[in-house]
Amino acid sequence: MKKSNKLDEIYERLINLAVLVAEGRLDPLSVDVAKFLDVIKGIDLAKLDLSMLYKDIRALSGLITILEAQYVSLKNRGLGLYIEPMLIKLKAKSLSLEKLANILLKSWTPTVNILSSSIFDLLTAYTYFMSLKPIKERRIKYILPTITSEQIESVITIPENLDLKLRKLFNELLSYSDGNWVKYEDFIYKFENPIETAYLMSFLVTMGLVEMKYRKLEDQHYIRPLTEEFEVKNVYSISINIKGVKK
Amino acid sequence: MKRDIENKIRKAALLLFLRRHRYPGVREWELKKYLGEKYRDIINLLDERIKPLGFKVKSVKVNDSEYYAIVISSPIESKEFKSYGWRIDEMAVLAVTISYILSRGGSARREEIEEILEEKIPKWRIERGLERFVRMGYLEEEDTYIKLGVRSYIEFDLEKLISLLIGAKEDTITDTSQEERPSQP
Repeated sequence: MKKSNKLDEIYERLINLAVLVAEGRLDPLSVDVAKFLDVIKGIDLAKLDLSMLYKDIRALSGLITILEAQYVSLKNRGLGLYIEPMLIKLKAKSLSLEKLANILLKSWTPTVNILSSSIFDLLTAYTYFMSLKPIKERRIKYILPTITSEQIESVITIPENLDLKLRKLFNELLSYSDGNWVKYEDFIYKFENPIETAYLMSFLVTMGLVEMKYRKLEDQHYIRPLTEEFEVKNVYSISINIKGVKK
Repeated sequence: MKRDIENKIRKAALLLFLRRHRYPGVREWELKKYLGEKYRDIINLLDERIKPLGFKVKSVKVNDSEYYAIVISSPIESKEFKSYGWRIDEMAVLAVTISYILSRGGSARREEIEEILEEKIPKWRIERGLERFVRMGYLEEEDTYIKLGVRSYIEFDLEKLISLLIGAKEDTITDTSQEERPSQP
């Protein structure tokens, strides 16, 4: 039992170290990989239960992450690319934007890229155009359903104890996100009534208690709770489509 | 024989000059496929021909893949740069981001990068800049981390960038935080 606990500790420690290295919070070269490898090599996998086997895989994957980071770090040091993160922070603070831009220019040799098209591309485009239906025939008609006020009330009722509900939702977000950015959808669909949650969330965002951002490339909205007072600037509306059922 | 080599040089020029992918240039296997096993000799011959015009063939190894691209042989002067359409603060965003990622050993948290830049550049502009550079292939985003994209390795002399940054003397700070944000949709 004791041996299993010790093994569990080693796995946990290795996984945590890998996370710290991946997040850039720990110098990968400070991890003694050989020591961990020796321990892992000596484990009899046949005696491990399923959960420990899973941890063993995660620990090995963590070890690979650390090794990769060590390789990059050594390569960078060898190439003279090693620099203290703090020094970059100080330089970013003390140098003007013009100077930073000039530094970039002095080390930049842009690539030459010519955009071209061939007769085959033109032929394909021509064939596509000829087979294309007129816009009128292609247009998709959207039919907006009529929703009565009773129907709306059946899905969402404005609660009397709004203040209490808002506080509860804020605390839920706080514990769910741990103060970090989380996907808006992931959080909203955690609840039985996502529409009501989204409705309440809109209050929290408007009040400046929750920060919201949109990542265009991912097409995802992110939210995070704000523990300090935040001055609301540049107020504008965001519309997000949500389904009324739990995912 | 000579004609065959000439044809291959022309083919190599087309492969490297004309845009084929999102990232600049081509991978090693493409050169091998179209130019044959002795593709390095052909590339060297092409390099000699484009040198007098101020270009060179550059190769970099990123994640076990070798990339080849034609770059300008020496950095361009600021005056000529105007036509590229990048703003000074966007360039500052890229300079700091690349340096910070290198200092962090290859990847850094997006939030940390934004925090460093926030003092001088409005947040929305930083976000827009980072997204633009991700789109252009200079940076790559994985979850909450940002790392260097293939294009940065090809186009920047990273060692020079770091040494210039370390050696740069302090300057007066330009404040752009007063800039107005464009109207929202």
